[in-house]
Amino acid sequence: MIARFDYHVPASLDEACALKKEYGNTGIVVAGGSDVYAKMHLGDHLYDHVIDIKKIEDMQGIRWSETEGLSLGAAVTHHEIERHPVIKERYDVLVQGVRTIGSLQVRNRGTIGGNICTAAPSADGIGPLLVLDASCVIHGLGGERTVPLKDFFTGPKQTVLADDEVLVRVTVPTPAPSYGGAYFKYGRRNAMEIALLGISVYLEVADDGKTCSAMRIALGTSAPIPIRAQKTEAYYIGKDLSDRQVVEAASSIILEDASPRNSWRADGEFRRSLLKLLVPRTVRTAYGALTRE
Amino acid sequence: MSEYTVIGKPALRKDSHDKVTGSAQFCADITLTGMLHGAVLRSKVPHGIIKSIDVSAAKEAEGVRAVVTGEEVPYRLGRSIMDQTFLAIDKVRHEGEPIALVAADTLEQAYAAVRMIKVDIEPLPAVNDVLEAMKPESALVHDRLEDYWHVDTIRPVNGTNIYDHFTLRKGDVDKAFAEADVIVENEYDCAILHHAAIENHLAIAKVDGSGKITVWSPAQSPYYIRGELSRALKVPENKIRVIVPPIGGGFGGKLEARAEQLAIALAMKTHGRPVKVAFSREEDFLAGTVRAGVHFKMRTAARKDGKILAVESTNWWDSGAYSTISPTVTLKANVILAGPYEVDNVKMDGYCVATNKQLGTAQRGFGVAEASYAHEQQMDAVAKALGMDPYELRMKNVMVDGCKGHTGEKMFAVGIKECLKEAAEGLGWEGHPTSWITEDGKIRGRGLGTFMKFTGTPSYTSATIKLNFDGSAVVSYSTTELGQGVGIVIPQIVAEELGIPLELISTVQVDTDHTPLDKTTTSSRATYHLGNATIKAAEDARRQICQWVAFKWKTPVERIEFKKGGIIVQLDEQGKPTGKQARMDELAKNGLIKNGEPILGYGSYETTNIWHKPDPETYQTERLTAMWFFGANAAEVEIDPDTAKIRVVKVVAAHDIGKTLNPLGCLQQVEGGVIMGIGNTLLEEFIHRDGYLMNGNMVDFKIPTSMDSDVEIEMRLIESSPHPEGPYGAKGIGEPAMCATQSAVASAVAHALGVPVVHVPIKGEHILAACRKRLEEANDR
Repeated sequence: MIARFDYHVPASLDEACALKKEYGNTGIVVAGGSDVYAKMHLGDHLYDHVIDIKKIEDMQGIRWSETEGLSLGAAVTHHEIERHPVIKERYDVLVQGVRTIGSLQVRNRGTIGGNICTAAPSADGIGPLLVLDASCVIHGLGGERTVPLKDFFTGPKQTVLADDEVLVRVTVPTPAPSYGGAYFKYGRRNAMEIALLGISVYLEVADDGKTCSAMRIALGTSAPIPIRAQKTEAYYIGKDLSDRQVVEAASSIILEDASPRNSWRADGEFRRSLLKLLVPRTVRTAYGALTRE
Repeated sequence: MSEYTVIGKPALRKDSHDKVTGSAQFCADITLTGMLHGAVLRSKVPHGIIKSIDVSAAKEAEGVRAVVTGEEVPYRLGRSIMDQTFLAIDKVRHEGEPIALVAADTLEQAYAAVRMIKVDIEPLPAVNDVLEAMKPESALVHDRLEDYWHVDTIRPVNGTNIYDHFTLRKGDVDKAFAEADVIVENEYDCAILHHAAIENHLAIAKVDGSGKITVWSPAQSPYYIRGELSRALKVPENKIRVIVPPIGGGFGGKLEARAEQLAIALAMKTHGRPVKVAFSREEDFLAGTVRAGVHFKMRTAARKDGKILAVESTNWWDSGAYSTISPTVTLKANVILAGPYEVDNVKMDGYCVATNKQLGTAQRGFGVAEASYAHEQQMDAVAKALGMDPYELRMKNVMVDGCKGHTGEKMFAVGIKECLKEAAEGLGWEGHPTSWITEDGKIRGRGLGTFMKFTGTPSYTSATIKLNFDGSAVVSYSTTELGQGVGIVIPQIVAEELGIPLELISTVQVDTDHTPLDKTTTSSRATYHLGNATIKAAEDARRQICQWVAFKWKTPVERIEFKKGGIIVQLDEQGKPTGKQARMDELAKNGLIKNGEPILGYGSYETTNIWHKPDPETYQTERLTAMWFFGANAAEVEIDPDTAKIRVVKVVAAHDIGKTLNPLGCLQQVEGGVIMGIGNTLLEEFIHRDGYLMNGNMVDFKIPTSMDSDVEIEMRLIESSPHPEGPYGAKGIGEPAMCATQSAVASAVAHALGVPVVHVPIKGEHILAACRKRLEEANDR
């Protein structure tokens, strides 16, 4: 049973920021509530104030143009993303990620902004956005700033957001006309699952169709925060991605990027073994998914 | 052409529409006039001494009408050992154990008041592991087991954590092992599981001015709960009434009183106002019920030709902080732990053990699915050691009619051979490898699982059939509808026996003040026991109908014949039909019974007369049970060698049903059972750290979702061994539906990888290395 709290519905960004600042640790910003209310339901008194930002106009909607790229309102639900025709066509790796979140019911409530701000290392929405080079548009009482998503997380469940700041939108540049993307989630179940590992890959190849010219890999539940696997990425640049042995050789590097821990959910050693097998496999999948003219 | 008109034909459950549309009114939907809401203060530690409880602030809180602590309700519950008080007194023994209660005008007020209670608990080391609990130096969960009353069929060991030590002795095991060509020895583990019924435990209680207690509860076995409460409260049974709204699933977990005693404890202080206590999902995990974990040590002796000579086991059941009915689980598993095979020498030692964990109790099969997993892994290991096909080994040893069972009784209506044959055939076993690599690099395997199980005996039940003047009938009984389909099978029997159309037959809400006596809804017993009682009730109704018609037609009753299909015929003095007749399915039109002597048929069934008490040391007896169940599953699995994730591709489930009464109902049981069995085998487990439950929620305790249930299920119902005492020859299917799935899937995984499966659930951690090795071997070839 949720303990009693005051419910605030700010109509503007400034109002939301002012409330957030005023209530500090006694308040929580909520959109879909799939993380926040679930936690509050456990009975402990967690927050006196809930600040519901769902109604704020600036946080709504999906905008896209070839030149400007994609702009997702923080309050856009996962299901809106899943079924958006342009995202399906141009940002498929993002669809692959968000459609593994919870269940359809959860995805109808949960938002991309919430997924990012909860800052769980397991978030299925974050990895794909990391490899798509997304940025966060942040609003505070002092104005607006933009932070690359890869710099957004500062520690376990910690972000760069100041006391008076909220995430407004997520922007994603238009990917190359030909690229390969893939998301692989390892969980014990096929739905209603928290990722024990999440692997996102974005890659581009040279005109020969096989030499890697761009590689971005993001790993979920592999470190205290969602990370990019920069050493592994560097390894792949210039390599022949059609050569299975070359792709799989990255398994000796991947643990230089990742440090999955032991927990009751899964053994660290097991997660490390999986990473070595599954990162190359996800690269292979992404290579196989290359969009060719 | 079937000899029956209704029996054996698919019939849709009568509660389908209400449940699918959401119009069914469950216990949670009930609000009574003046009803208060209860909330529970629960222990945050698994083991500790209660130093003090301060409820003063809670008593003064807004809306609070009653606060109760343990000393005010020192009543003891316990089917086997009366070791459980309503609320913790002096000591807490598991995380989530109730310590104090609040009833308030609103649920919010009740929860707010619970948060104001201050409790000081000095933690004790938790007894966290069943094998550790057996060591002499282990801390004790119950300091003095000997102080509790217990039933005389169990043997608690004073000064230990042993609730019961069960023994079975048949033949000469030592001699058999000495003469064996092959001895296979292994240990197996099954994790603790939760029933995870869609409906949590809850109850509403009301105590009226005369002291009569009324409880609304989704109790599986309302008369059992009534008896438990009566013994605990020392109140006569007639002063307790249990009303059962539609039940949102039980699986054995709703056998135990969990919320009932808490609601009563509060209602005793609210001056007639009813109190509802409804567990949250998290409370249900911590303080509902679980299937005990178990550790098996198994030893099997075989001859070169595959004959199983002996099976020996010692096993320890992690039964948690209070004993509930768990000694019966230990017993039922050990009786069949040698499998449905003819084995002359059997020695079993089952220990039912206390730990500081959740309460182990019955779960769909009473330990049989776990036992089946252990005995079937042993069969596969023996087959491997002898270089025999696992199917052939099993076929060579399966029980047949007339053989001597593990309890020494002469077995009859044994359909295991046909089941095993059909299950294997359904998968195309013969000539097919049990392990291979697919073109896309996945590892596939096939396996077999068999089981046998007995229904609890002695027991009793009863039914009445009331005929309305409009030709409809109402059948009353106290077996509850848990989703097993009793609410359609019993009307089918009435329709068959009386010729009344199925749609004109209704059932009533179970209520111990109104519906007839019944022991319990467990043990896959309803169709068999209640079916027999219903047939007798129908006979009684037919007799009354004939008497009334004789009077009405002015004919001696000997010359009234009630024919199959419900046609009542007048006979002449030579016994030939006179042409005068009436149909039971036209009673509304023909007015045959209208304004006549009301007709109420009664029938009962009980099995005391066929039961022989087993010897307490050897558990040998002339007859243990009314009914043995048998069945076999064959499973195919596919394993991704990069993730070690297992997908069950197909399960063929063959069941010795005796006679199928409702094939649709059987299919629903088998589909649900197979998927539940897959969940048990691949996903579900309680994870504890020092007695604390880590994953007590629906995200982290992983029951299969629809996305995890993509398995081809083929059901084969075997009718070659009808039960001579069963209704139309029928046996049960509720628990059997899942009893061999765990073993068949584990067998398939073991075959796929070439290593035994020593732990369920089978997790990636356990098998990833074996997957890689299997793949390398295949690549080397």
